[in-house]
Amino acid sequence: MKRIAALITLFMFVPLSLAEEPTEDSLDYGDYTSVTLQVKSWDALGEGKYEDAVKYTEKCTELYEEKAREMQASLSAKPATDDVHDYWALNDVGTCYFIRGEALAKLRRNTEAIAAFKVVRDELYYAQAWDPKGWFWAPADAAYPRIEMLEAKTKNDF
Amino acid sequence: MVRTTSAILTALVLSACAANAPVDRDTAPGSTVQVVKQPDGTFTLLRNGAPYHVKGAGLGSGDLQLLAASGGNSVRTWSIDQTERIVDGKPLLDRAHELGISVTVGFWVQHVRHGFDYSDAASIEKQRAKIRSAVLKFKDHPAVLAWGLGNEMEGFEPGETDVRIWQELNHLAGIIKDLDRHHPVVTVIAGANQSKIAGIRKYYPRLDILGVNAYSGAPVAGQNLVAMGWNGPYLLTEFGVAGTWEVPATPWDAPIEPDPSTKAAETYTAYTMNRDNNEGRSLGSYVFIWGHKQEATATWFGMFLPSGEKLPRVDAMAYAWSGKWPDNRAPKLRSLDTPVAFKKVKPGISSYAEVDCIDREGDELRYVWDIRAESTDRRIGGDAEAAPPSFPDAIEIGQGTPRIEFKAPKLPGAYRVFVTAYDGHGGAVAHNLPFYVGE
Repeated sequence: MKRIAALITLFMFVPLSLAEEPTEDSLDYGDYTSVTLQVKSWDALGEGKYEDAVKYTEKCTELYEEKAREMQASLSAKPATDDVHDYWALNDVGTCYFIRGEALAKLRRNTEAIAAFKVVRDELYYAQAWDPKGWFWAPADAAYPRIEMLEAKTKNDF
Repeated sequence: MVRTTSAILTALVLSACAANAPVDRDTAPGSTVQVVKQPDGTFTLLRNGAPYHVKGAGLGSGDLQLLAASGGNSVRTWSIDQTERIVDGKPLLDRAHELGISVTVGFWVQHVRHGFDYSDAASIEKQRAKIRSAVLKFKDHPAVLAWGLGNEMEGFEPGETDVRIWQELNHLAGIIKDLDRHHPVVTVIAGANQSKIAGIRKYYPRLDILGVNAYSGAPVAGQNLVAMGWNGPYLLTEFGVAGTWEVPATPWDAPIEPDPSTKAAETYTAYTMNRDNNEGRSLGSYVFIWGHKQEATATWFGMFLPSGEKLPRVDAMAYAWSGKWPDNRAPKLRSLDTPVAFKKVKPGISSYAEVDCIDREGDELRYVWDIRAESTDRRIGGDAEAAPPSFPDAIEIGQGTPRIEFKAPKLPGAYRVFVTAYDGHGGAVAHNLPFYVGE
């Protein structure tokens, strides 16, 4: 009886507890700015919506990667703190590649995750991300050990 | 005598650091430990004349014999009380020495954030007297590797550190060196930044080895230290998994704990990257923590369960230290799922959770599930936290098996579903997923 009651309760609340995976069309891309897409991908990562996180990052790179690469090519060193925001596309796209790597790793798509991390480590390495605690950090620096970790995980049975 | 001769010969070949003293162990018991700077600018730790790379762990409640069997060779303590602990029926230093394990003996240097006043002469003198007494007590024990003078006493934010703390540490290091010339002084900071490094270089010249606690940054700690201006030797004094403050969190601010295999791989990678890529400055490392610790969750940092079973990170360190996996591995968790994970659900809703675990040796696994409130006693700097309450009545069917049916608690708030699988031979694996009851 207890089990039946549990099943009935489960059935009643299925929309709450078993939310359907949204399709791309159902995702809200907000104003489609790079910063919005980056923030939404972070949020999706924190909500355990890893497929959505990947899609937000894909939308960001689809729209802004060309600009990000232009900015990267114009630099010979990491921009100083006062100038960081001038490189908005580089920062948001680089961060999105990092988030994509994190989300793909959660989905156990390690080869794709490594590839995403390598883009920011090897190609968009002057990107910087703002930590709300009060400082900028470099997604490329954070990507480096993630790649090593995933490669170790691929080679060894952890 | 052979040991002493070897040390002298080595010292002739290598140029010693300014802090090094002549070796005169002929007339005194105990060990002699030196940091030497080699002609190419790299650093080596010499213990009784032989190069010594620290393969260590922060001492918790975990089995010391297992540490030695896993290829570890050292532990660090945080306080005098901990160093005086009885382990396996013997004083820690005696037991460690029996097992071939050295000890970085920690002295707790008081923190301003705990109310210590570095302008209060009486409090400062009391602290000095305590350390002086402990050095005299332990200095001739052969297990002593180094003096761990302070842990994260400088604070966490850039520019936060009062220079009086560095000056007092320098004074304390002087007291130690006056009493014991045979062991280097290590001071441990909570991650490095340029301001801390500049403060240490300016106000703390007696420091022999910088200790750095780093989590996500551990794999590149050596390169970062050089970039920040540190030109001396260092020990990675805490490392392991990404910290609770370094990972994505749910909308209700519950940090999402990485799965056990990822934690094992992160720990392994942090160790190997620091070992292999440190600008010649790393003298070794201490993994955090060889025991159990409640910090955000019961399983985040601890390498053992409270009941003593090892978790997969112990095996990862055995592989890192020795190049071999142990004969009996901790079980492997392949997946943990529940429909409520990361979601907000109504009070009392029924749901289920299921886990897929394997045991590489074919041991039969026993499962223990736990519905537990999210920790609300969150602190900084590793300060002790209280474990949140458990709701055993929430589990309706399946306790002991890989699948349960449960009811979400009726009280709104944040929770986690925990599962632990035991192999019955000293190994276990544990994981959890967060959910929220309420709107």
